[in-house]
Amino acid sequence: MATLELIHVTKRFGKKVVAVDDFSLRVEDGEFLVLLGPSGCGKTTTLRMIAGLEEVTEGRILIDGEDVTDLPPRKRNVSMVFQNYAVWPHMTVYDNIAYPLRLKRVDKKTIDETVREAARMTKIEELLDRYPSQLSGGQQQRVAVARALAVKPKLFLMDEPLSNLDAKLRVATRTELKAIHEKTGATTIFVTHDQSEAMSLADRIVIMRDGKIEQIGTPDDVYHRSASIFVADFIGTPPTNFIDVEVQVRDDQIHLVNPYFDFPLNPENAAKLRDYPKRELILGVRPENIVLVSEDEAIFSTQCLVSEPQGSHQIIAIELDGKIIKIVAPAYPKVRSGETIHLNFKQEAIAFFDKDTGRRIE
Amino acid sequence: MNKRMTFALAAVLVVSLLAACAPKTVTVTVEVPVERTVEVEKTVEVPVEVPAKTLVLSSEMFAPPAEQEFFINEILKPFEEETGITVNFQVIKGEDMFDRVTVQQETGHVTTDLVLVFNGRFSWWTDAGYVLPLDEVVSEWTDRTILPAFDRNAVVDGTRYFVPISADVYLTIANNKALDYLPEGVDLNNLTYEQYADWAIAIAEGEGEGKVCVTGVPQKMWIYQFGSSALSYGLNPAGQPEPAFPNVNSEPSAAAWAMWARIGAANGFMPTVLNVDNCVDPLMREEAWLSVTHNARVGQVYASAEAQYTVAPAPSGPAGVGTIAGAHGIGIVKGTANYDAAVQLLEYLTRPEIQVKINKGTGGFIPVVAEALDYLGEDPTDEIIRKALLVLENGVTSYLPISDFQDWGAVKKVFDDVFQQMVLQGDGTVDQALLDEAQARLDALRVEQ
Amino acid sequence: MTAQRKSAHLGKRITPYLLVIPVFIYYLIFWVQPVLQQVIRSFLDPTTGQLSLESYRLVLTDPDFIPALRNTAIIVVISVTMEFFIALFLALIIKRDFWGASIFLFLAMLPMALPPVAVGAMWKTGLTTNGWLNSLLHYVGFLPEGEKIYWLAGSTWKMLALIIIIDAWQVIPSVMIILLAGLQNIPKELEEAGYVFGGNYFTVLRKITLPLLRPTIQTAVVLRLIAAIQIWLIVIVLVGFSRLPVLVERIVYYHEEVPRLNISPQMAAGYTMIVTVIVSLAALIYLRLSGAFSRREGG
Ligand SMILES: Nc1ncnc2c1ncn2[C@@H]1O[C@H](COP(=O)(O)OP(=O)(O)O)[C@@H](O)[C@H]1O
Ligand SMILES: [Mg+2]
Repeated sequence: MATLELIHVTKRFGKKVVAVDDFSLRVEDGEFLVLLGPSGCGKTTTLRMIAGLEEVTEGRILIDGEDVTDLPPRKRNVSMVFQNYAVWPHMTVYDNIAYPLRLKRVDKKTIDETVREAARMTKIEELLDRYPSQLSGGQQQRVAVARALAVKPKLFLMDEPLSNLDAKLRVATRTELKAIHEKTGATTIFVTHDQSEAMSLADRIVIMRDGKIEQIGTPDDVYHRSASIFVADFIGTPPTNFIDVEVQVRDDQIHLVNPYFDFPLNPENAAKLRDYPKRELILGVRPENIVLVSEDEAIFSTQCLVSEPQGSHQIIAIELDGKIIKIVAPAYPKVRSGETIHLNFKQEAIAFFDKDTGRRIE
Repeated sequence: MNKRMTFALAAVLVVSLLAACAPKTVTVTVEVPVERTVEVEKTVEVPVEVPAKTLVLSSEMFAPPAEQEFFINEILKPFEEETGITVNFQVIKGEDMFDRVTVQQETGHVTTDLVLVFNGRFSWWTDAGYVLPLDEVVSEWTDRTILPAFDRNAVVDGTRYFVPISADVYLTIANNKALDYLPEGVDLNNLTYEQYADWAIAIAEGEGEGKVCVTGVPQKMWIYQFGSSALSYGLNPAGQPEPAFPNVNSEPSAAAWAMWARIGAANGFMPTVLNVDNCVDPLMREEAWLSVTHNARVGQVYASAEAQYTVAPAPSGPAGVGTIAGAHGIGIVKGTANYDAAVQLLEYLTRPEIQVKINKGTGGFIPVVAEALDYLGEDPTDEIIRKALLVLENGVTSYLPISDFQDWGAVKKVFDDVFQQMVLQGDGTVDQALLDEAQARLDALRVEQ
Repeated sequence: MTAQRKSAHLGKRITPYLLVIPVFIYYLIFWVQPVLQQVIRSFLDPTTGQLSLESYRLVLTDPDFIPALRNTAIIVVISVTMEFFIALFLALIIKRDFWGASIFLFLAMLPMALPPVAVGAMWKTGLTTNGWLNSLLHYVGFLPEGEKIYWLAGSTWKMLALIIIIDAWQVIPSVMIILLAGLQNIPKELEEAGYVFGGNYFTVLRKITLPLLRPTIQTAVVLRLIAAIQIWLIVIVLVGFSRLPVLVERIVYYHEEVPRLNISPQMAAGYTMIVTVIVSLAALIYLRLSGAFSRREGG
């Protein structure tokens, strides 16, 4: 097992495309780290640089403190699960898993044991003699994982390994992957664009945007303490609600003002804005942090636009300032469309974002 | 999938190979004359324009693209403008032309109106009766006299079937650099073959590289180059009715072989002689300095750089200046629907001034109408034509008895093999046994009669 | 209901046949018929029309037959092997997509655009004593001034070597393009996985790239094999007929050069059949050796 460090890593394709931009990160031994971001943000490129499949334009990559930036893939002792699995169609499942071991001149008996062990872990023991064309997508994915496991690598790299599976299988497999990680304790870098996958698997999540790191943190960090509008919007379903507000100081209190509401901040929140020089900012509230209250506790009232019962809860949509705002409320009492509702924010869970930079104000 | 594709591809290839080698189907094109219905209003007569005629002229001459282009643009085009008759000129191998017309004759769909044929093959046509008598036509021409040198087989039993339009003989051409090696007191215009050989050997010794060009590629012109020399050594004694040529092993032939073998043993031939299929290029590139070759080829080289070359009649031998003389003649195909137009074209092509134009323009062939001489001028090609006429008039000539043999290509090959084995690889002497064996091969090719 | 389904099923089954029939008929009339004719002719005496093996006797006793067979075999073995390896090498280089790869590809493809006659003529002028090859060698100084190489003069072996080189020059690009297309069809992750899991360039090439390229290699080599057996035009442009007999040159010789010889039809028919058998056998043997018949999954 190993640690991984990326130090100011930049990757440019040609002169114009900057796929990864000044990326610095330290991954701890045994950690399950997820690279999360929308398509095209540079996740795969980052992973490929770690694997050695892509040259680094600037910066260094260290594995266990050793600079591997200029080493070919085979000397890095990493393994990878590719998005399309990349199992070799001309080899049986057994040979697919054994190939890396044979290259390492491991003796036959050990190879056999290792292959079977990996196959057992990934539940493909019965498929060892088959060719990939005789396997389903899910089975091929397991072969790819087994092959990656068998080499007992320092780093385990996975590029959207679940994205080609159907929804149900995806969720099941992700649980298994997590279990395998717990068992092996391998340092893992997992790439996905699916935030719920990231949340459920990661020790830490790195959220990327346009080749840059937007935020690094535990799933809780990125959810509850989103560093930017981008993160707050990207993480969580439904995403965070954003409301334009004006800061007004009245009666020694800081008020957030909007045509629909005007309320004073509690001391903790007020402290964050005390030295904030601008008059306008963006208020971010997660849907579950807008609460239905009685009329006198409300800071504003409005009509329910639609309500979507979800069983365990209901999602209520309202319109505010021309924007749809979503609220996650307990399943009962049921709110009907058109019904007037009274709302307040959980002040301990609201966030402020700079209108220009999109960064969180603290 | 891929495997099956591979098999399918292989199968298609095998089958197409077979098909390509299978006998070709002869396509017969049938020309349907265009009939025009003209609605005549009331009784007013409207002159009906005769649809433009198209003549098809098949030729085994003028195969080189430059000659072809010249013949079409400079000779046929004025005719078309003059008469309104379009001439469709097609170059085709002699054998193929004969096969094609045979099919036309057998099916009655005659689409080839005129044929331009090598005189060695005249008798194929006359024997088969595919060409029409031309005496009446020729007798109407008062301004021209057809040289009798090529009447053999063109005139059968007193009836003319072909009118020659162009003849060729063999001439000597030398790069002027070679003149330095010309033995003292030797006159290039009266050169003998033995002197030619000495000269060639002197060049080879002086330059360290042979400079004589003959066509060493099989089935090209060596048979004629050799044949011309054998005639010089007496292969066709005067007055002998049947030509002795082609012959490999008679005394005159052996004497000629001995002369060539002398050159060969002294490495007098250009080193790459076996790859030469035409002496024009080697002469122009100066890889060869010396050659006795076809007058049109000589003309081509000479005209390219007049100052650089010297042209002379073919060398002589004990029997005189020998040369293979060939001619190409036109016949009108039996059953043609365009007889009158064909006659018009024939008349046009044999006009003395057109004769000179044709033969000069295509590099120095010899006109076969006596009056053409009056139209010769002073430029290099005229020079070639004059020299060639000299050889034709004074030389020991032979025509090519192509129709006596199953296949003329195979006849050529006999001579090519002797050249390679005895002249090039030999020790400079004549191997009579080899010649006798070659002669036997040659005789085996004769058509049984 | 069942009947309906049955007929629909039937319709589905015969549609492909219906689509193929016109092509099949065309093939039958224009390919198979002349081929059969040729096969039959090769077993008949042209004068009597009787069943006869004379064609084969003539060919097998032809003094040029053994040299033709030998020369063809030499050309095929050396040129196919050499062309394949050079083409593979070039395809692998071009695949790496280095700077200027597309220009290189374009230049490499130029010989393909030339008809064999032009190629022959071009090389022939190049190889003559004062040709461009010697000039070039003088120019770059490999050949001292005044010295010449007589490329075209010399032994059968030298000629064979020249023919192989010229043929290679012309066909390597096409083999390369077939291989390049095959290489580009291999998903790049398959090779990348090979590198990640411990392979260097050559192990990945041997264990992953080449096995995956096998169907393409088979196609390319079979095509080349068949084409190489059929080499003749370059031979005759360079040295003319009969000097360096090769099998198909013999067919053309009897068919085109000496067609009026009494034995020519039989010779042409006999040689044609022999070439056909050899081509088919060569293709079969190669496919067997290369494992196209062994059942294999994947791909
Ligand atoms: N080989 C390449 N050449 C040029 N641009 C590339 C290449 N690979 C990736 N890119 C670009 O780099 C950016 C990041 O790509 P990638 O790492 O694949 O994103 P992700 O995996 O996050 O979807 C994209 O804009 C993509 O178009
Ligand atoms: Mg990606």
